[in-house]
Amino acid sequence: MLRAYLRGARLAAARWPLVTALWLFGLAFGLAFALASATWLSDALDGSLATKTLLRHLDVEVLIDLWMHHQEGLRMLLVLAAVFAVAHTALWWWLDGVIIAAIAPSPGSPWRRGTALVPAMAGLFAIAIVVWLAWTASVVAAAWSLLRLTRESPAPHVWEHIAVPALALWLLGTAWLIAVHDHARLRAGLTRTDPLSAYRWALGFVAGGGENAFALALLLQASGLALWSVYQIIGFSVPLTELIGLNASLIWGQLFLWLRTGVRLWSMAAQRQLHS
Amino acid sequence: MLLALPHGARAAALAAPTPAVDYRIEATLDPEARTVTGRLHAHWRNPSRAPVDSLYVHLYLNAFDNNRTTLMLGLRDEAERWFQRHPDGWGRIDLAALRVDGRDVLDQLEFVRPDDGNPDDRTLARIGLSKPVPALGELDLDVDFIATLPRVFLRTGHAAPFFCVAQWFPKLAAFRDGGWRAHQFHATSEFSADFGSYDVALTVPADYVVGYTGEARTTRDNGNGTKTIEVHADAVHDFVWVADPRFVVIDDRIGDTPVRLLIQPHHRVQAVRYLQALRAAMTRYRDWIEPYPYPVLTLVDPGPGAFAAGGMEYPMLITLGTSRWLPAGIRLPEVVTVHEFGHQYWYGVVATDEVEEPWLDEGVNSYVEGLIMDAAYGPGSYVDWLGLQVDSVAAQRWSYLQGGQWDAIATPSFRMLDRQSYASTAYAKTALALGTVAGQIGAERLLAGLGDYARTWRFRHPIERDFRTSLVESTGRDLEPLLEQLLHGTDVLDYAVERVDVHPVPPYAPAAGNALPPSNEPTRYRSEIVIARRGDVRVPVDVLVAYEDGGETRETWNGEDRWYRIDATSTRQAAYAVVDPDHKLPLDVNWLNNSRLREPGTRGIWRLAGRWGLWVQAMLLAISGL
Repeated sequence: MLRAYLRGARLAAARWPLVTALWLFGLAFGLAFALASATWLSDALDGSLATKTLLRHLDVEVLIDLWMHHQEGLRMLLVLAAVFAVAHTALWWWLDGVIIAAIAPSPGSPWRRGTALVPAMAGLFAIAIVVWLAWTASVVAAAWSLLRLTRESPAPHVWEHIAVPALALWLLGTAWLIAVHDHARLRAGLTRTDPLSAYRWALGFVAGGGENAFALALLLQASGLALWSVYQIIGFSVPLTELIGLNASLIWGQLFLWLRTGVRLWSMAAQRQLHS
Repeated sequence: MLLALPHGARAAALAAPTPAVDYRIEATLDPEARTVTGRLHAHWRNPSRAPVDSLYVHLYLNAFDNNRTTLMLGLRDEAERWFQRHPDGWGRIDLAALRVDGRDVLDQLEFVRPDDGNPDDRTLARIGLSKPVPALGELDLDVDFIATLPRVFLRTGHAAPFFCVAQWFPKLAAFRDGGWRAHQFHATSEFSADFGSYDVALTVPADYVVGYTGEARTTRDNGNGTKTIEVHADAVHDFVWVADPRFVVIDDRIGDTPVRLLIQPHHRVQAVRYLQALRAAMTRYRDWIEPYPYPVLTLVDPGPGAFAAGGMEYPMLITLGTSRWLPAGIRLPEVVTVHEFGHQYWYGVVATDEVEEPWLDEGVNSYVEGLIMDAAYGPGSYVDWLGLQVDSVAAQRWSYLQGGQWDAIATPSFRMLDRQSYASTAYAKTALALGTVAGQIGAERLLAGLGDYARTWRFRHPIERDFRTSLVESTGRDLEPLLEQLLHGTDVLDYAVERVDVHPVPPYAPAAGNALPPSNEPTRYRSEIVIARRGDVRVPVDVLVAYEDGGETRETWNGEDRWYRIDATSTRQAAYAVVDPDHKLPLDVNWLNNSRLREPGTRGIWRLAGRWGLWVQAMLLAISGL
């Protein structure tokens, strides 16, 4: 497991141009949303002092007035974010194929080979999202039922005693399902299996404890979490109230997202080792 | 003369009221059945110079008797959902015996619905008297009753073994100005009654810890697993008690006042937050208004599942609310404590009618609560968390803008559009209106005026006219036109900077053929600033114009016309203008339009837009990895 983890890291590092390209796709979405937000803010703030002072002082009164008097525009931004989410997800059906093609020892351009995998990735995403939604609904329903059953309980913290384990269970299950989805993607990409068969195979592979698949997935996700923690710790020390701090913060944020994209490739490359 | 006295002497010099009614009540709690069995004796004095031929009695627990009471209709879907979850959560009060001056009058009791005519509401009853009570005469009322407590849903009831026993006994309505002032129990209103004295004997299981209005005189063990606590309270207009075997009792003293905190064990870590907030409130009320006038104060932290009993004021007892996980920067327990303590003055001592004029207690109290929170906790006094700071004005503006446009401040609670309008108007809008008055006359002067009003009307029942007269006399300012606009209108206050234009003044050009030699004078600019009144509330407003050389000018516009122009011609150019730069008009509905830059900035926009773009990008990456 550890060997796969380290080999995956080396493979990902060696493919940094691909990581950069993948990150650029995300950056395009981020920039587009920032531009849309800036346009809306420029219109809503309408030349007020806040167009300047928000840099140094995140005045809650400005946020209140934006919400109360410009709610429709804000809602449109949320709709735009939802549209972006759909488009970005669809884009990643292709990019996931590109990643698998890039880490597989096959000739030819991964971009082109990735294109051939789009239907399989789309199918797998549909299966994975349905399974994940079912899992989420099951946990919520169980927690809700327990809360209803204990509603007359005089014990303190009943809510916390149910909600916290439920949340932990949901997170663990989500991590497990992500591992299954990753292995299903690899299976479909490497063996050209149909999505349903690939997903079924991955379920058995991860559930059967094949090659410590879930442990490796957890380790990789923990690595991503550690990266996020470092980003936050450093990010909080950057003063946003100065122009230079604001720019540094945005650049630091993009560096984090670049690394996070690298972790994505690392995850696939490491888990790919278990398939050989 | 009186005002020259120090606060303590002044408070002592003002007498408590002659009680309108004396209550003696024996009450026994049955925790299993969720009932309180009681026997009540009331001695009522007719304060008027005319005979009285009927009594009005509140039977407010009947508001929880069925799904079509006035309370339940006012709560709409909220009530339906609640009782679907708690099908056995109903409550009511049953009268077993009713005697006036020893005569059985139970069959003369009729339910009345003066507010809405709702036939399913039995929260107010009239007792016709065969023999009227003569002018300045007296009457004895005896009632045997059984109060079935609802599952705590709104202020009163049980989440056993926690019991909040409020609005639980047959309580005589208020008698003011020669007539009964009686209302049904509404979703949007609280309570009003006359001052009285209470002697109450509470019998509860021996292991229960009990809190109450007033002071305990004796406690005796009945030898059968129960105990009886005899409680006395003077100069109060309600009596409430709570009981829970789990309460941890923390005794403290603030100034001369013993404070008793009854807190749930799992909230014990939050005790310091309650007590610090109480200390902040008590000391400031002592300094600003007068010392706390009662002999004791009890603070109650409701039990699990009884959050709806929290945040409520009763004489000498307030209910609070918190959560063990609440971050220190979210000051909910502090706000609740300061607010409910303030009601010991605005409602308790200055006993305004919470039903007919809710703004006189909730609004005035909210205004003073904001002053105390800001003074005690500084910037971010309400919320100081994750870089976001919310002070009193921001919190009140948020609440006001949710639904404060529908009703005038001086509207009876049950006549307001809905509960949102009630909350936005009676609390937040009133507090902001008083803040606007403070902006005109100075916060210290307004506070002094409120102090004079409170002391003048101590242990009495002032109405709007008394408040206005007191404020005008005390501050020495003609506030009537402003108060009339703020209290009785639904117009909004909104001043805006409409335009900031700068044009170079061209050199003088006479008619053709008479050209002047070139001038060496520096270029002059005409700065034109236009201020607009977009709302219909008219108040004088300050205008600040800032110039690019760093200079500023200020002037005050009377705010009457629709617009006002400032024309300034000089060698400097206006950079921006701000209307109401010191936020003296917190009632202004839109602060974004209060300023305008000649050249709009971009850095503030990019701070937000850049972050939002980054967040969306991160979120998209996370979703695609699911």
